[in-house]
Amino acid sequence: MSLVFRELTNEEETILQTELDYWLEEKELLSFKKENSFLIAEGKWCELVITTKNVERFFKENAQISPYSIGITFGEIKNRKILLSLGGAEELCTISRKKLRINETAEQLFLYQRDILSKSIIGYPTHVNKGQKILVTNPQGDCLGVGQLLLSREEVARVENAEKIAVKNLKDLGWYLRKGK
Amino acid sequence: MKNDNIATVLAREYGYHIGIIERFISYFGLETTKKMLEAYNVPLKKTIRCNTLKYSPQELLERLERKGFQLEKSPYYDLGFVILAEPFPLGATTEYLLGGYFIQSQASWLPVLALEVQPGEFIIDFAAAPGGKATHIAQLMENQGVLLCLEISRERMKALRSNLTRCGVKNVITKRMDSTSFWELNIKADKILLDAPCTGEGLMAVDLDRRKKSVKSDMERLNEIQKELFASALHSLKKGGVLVYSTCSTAPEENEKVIEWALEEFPIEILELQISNIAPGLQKVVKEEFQPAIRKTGRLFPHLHGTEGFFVCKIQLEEEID
Repeated sequence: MSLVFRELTNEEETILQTELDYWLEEKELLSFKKENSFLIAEGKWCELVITTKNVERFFKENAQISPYSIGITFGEIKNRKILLSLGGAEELCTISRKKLRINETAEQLFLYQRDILSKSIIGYPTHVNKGQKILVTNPQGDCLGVGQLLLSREEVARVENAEKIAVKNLKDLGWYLRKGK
Repeated sequence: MKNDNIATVLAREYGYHIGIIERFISYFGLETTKKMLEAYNVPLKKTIRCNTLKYSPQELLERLERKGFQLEKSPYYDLGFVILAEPFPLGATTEYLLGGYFIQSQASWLPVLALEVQPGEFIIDFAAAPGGKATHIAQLMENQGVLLCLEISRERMKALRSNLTRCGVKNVITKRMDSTSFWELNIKADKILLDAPCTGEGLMAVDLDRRKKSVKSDMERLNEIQKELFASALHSLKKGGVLVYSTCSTAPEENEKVIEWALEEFPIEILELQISNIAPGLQKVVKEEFQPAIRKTGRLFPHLHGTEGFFVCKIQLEEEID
C-alpha cells in the first residue's frame, strides 16, 4: 500500500507539540522545531516523519514524485499519542534531558530486547516519574532505545532492589538486526 | 599452446566458465588474465566507511579498538578503514546499529568521490538500494540539499530505508520506480549517480558462483537496461549537471562501450576523475578503438588495486535535453 504524504492537521500539530513538550525544554524545543520539518505519511498507519525544510519545499514543488518515504520516521500516531520510533528517539536524544544511562553489560542485554535491572543504571534523570518514558543511553551517551520507568530514582538507589527490573524495554536498536534488513 | 587451449586449461585450473576466460584473454591479454585470476583467488579485505553524520573517523577508530577490533586507515580514502581483526561480527556492534559506519568495499567509495558532492545540491541516486552509496552521498551533503533515491525492487527498498534511517539521513526522499522512466517526471538534478545493474564480472573474488556462469545472455539484456538508464539520467540533468556512471564489472561492453555510445548520442563531455592511483579506461578492445576521451574514465583491477574489478566515469551534460 502506497503512502500519502501531507502536512499535519491542527490536531496532529497538538499531538506533536505535546510529545515534544514532554521530551524537550523550551529552548531546545524552539530550535528543534526551527531546524526540522514534520509531515504525515498516511497509509495503513499514520506515521509522523521528520525531514529538512529543503526536502519539504522540494516535495511540495514536485508533488508528482509520489514518494515511498521521506526523511526519517519520527513515530506512529496512535490513539492521539506518538509512539516514538528509533529514528525519533535518536533525534531527541542529543537534546533531551530525559535520558537514563546504563552500564556496558546492560547495554548488550538491552539490545537483545531485555529489560534493565536496577543495578545496571549509572545515571537516572531528574524530573521523571515512575511509569514515564525515558531515552536509554550507554555510558558514552549513545541512544540505545526507549524504555518505561518501573522504579523511581529512590527505589533504584536501594540495595535490596538491585536485581529488580527498573526499566521496561519498549524499543531498542537491536531491531535493525532483527527486522531492519 | 594456442590461446583457446590455454583458456581451457585456465578455466579448469581456476574453476571458471570457459567463455569468461576467453573474453578475459581477448580483452586484457593472457598475462593480465592470469594475474587477474590469481588476484580473484585472494579474499577481499573487509573495509568500512565512517559515517561522519555520527562520528569523526578518530572517534570511530577509538571506539572499535576499545572493543578489540584492529583497523588501519584505507590508503584510498581518509574516511575508510581496513579491518585487520574482528573479534565479533562488525554488523553487531552498537556503533554499527547507530549508523556510525557502513560495511562497504573500497571500490564502492569511488563513484561517490567522483561525484564531488557539495552540501545543498539536488542529487539523485538512480539505483539506490541497499543504500551504501546513498548514505555516503548524504553524509557528504551534511544532511543539506535534497537526495532523491530511486529503486525498482520492493524488497530492496526496505533495506534502503532501514539503512538511511540507521545512518541518520534526513534530507532524503525515496521513490520506488523503474529509473528508466524517471525522465518523464521532468525533474532536473544537479548531479546523478548511476551505479548501473551489471553482470558483476568484477566480483569473482566474492561471488564464486559467478565464475561458472556464462554472461553472454545477461550481458545483452543488461546492456539494454544500462543504456536506457543512462539516457534517462541524462534527460534528468540540468545543463552543466554531472552524471557518474559506474559498474562492478570489468567487461568493456558494460563500460567503455556504453560511454562510447553515449558520446555519439548526447551532448556530453567526459571529465577527468580527481582520484589518484586509478587505471585509465581501455582505449582498444580487440579491433575496436575508442575515442581518446575514453581514457579519462577509470578502472580498478584486482591484481593492481587489491579490490574488485570496477569501472567509473564522470560526465558533464553540455546542453539540457528535453
